[in-house]
Amino acid sequence: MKTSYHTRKVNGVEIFYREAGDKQKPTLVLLHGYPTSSHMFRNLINYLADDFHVIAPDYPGYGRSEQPPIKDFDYTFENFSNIVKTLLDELEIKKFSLYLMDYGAPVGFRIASRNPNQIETLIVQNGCAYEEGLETFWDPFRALWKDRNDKEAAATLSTFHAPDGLKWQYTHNVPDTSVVSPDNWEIDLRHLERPENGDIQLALFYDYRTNVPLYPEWQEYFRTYNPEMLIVYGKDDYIFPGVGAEAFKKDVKNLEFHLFPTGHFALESFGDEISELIKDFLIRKTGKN
Amino acid sequence: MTNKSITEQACAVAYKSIYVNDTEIFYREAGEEGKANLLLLHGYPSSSHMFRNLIPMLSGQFHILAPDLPGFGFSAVPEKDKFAYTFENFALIIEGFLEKLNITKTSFYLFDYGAPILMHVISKNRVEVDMLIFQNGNIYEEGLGQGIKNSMFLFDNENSENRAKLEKLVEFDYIKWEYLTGVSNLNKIAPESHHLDQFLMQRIGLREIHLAIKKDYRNNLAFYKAWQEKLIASQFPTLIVWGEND
Repeated sequence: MKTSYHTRKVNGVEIFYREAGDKQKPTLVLLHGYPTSSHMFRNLINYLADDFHVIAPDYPGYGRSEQPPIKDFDYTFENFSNIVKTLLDELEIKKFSLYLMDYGAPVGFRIASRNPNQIETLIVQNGCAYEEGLETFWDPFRALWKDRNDKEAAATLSTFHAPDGLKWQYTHNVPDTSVVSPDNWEIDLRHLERPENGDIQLALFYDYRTNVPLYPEWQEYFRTYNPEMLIVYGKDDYIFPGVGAEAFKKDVKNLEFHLFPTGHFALESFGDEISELIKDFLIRKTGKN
Repeated sequence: MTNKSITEQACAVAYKSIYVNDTEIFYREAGEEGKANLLLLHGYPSSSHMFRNLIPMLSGQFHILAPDLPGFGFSAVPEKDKFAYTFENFALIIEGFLEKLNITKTSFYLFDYGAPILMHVISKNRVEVDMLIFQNGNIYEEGLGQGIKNSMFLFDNENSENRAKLEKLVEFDYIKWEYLTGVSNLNKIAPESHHLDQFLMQRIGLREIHLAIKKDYRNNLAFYKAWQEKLIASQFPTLIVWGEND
């Protein structure tokens, strides 16, 4: 197979990443969502490997990366973005495109807005940069942001990575759920059921509040730097609904926009269509093929 | 586009389940019904997950079915006293599976446990065989490696000390070893394979079930001669693709 699997110590944490393709070709960095890992990109990576250099890291506490004890490590989006950027620096990746999904959006938009000259293109799939994109799913988050000790909110939120909630994330509003592989949630659960992982998920739910005040900065980055952007979005996602995708139109001039009639993990049900769009977009925009 | 690549077809895989002899059997299906059938059967300690990349590669030409055996992958795990975890019974499950899906003619991919199970099926002549593909699936005494010989010895001389050794065969270190040993480039092995297997192995009662299956493996040896004669008599078109360092 084309993909290879690596680990590298980054800022003291063992980071796992999938890699494929020729390093001389344009690089695409794939940033996964909650509560999964680079496993969500397993098919996309194979599809793009002939034309691009692809890297997909797992964040600390996710997938096959190390899960440092919560007392020794700040489980924050700020820290995740520092780790991902350090990994890219150490691998001497100077220019790259970013694929931002779910948690990948606040991780990747931090990197992009702070290093605009290193960004070739942005691909956004069910990842948010606008407050209007945070609908009812986010009510218990807001309660937790108000009060870190809100037990009811914490209990509600923890159901989303329990077996049933996790399966729901993969299948909700997917037109034909028989195409969604159960490998997804079973492999996620392997990591989610590690001791202390539930506390880590909660820490990140709480830290998500730090992303919202950065939205205006990211929007300003879009207006100032006019990055090339491809949106491929499951419009029926309950977590990041299509309205959050529409919002990018306000600020992003160089935008190609595609909604799909499906849910959160759109690659599972529209992987063929999304992969083709990405390949075509990257070939045109990176101009190196 | 004419030559569809792996991922372009990956979403064409369907994840389904049906009841066979009162046991819920999970299977992956791809390709058009009506095209030549190919049944992929997994080994220990895996499931149809092991065929996740092969399936989309072949789904343009074949109708592919990859079931999980009871106690493996996402199929049901009937209790040990309610289901015979034997290779002969697994063969009955596969026969029932093919019958339910109206498959009367197919090719078979025989790997590891799948080899004895499918040879039982083939020997009954109820399903017409197109082709056989053997991948590290043995039906010859000289093909039994030291590992399997050791475990047969330990089962034949079961005591607490030997039992403890056998129990290692259903632990994570061994599961991981099965994927990594003999591999020239370890970076090419996807870690989700052994982690998924381990996650499923941790379910209540699974280790005992898998030890029972391992114990039953010996019963296959009595059929080797008949299976070899079947291959000699039938001369099915056969492809061997084999990891030589296994």
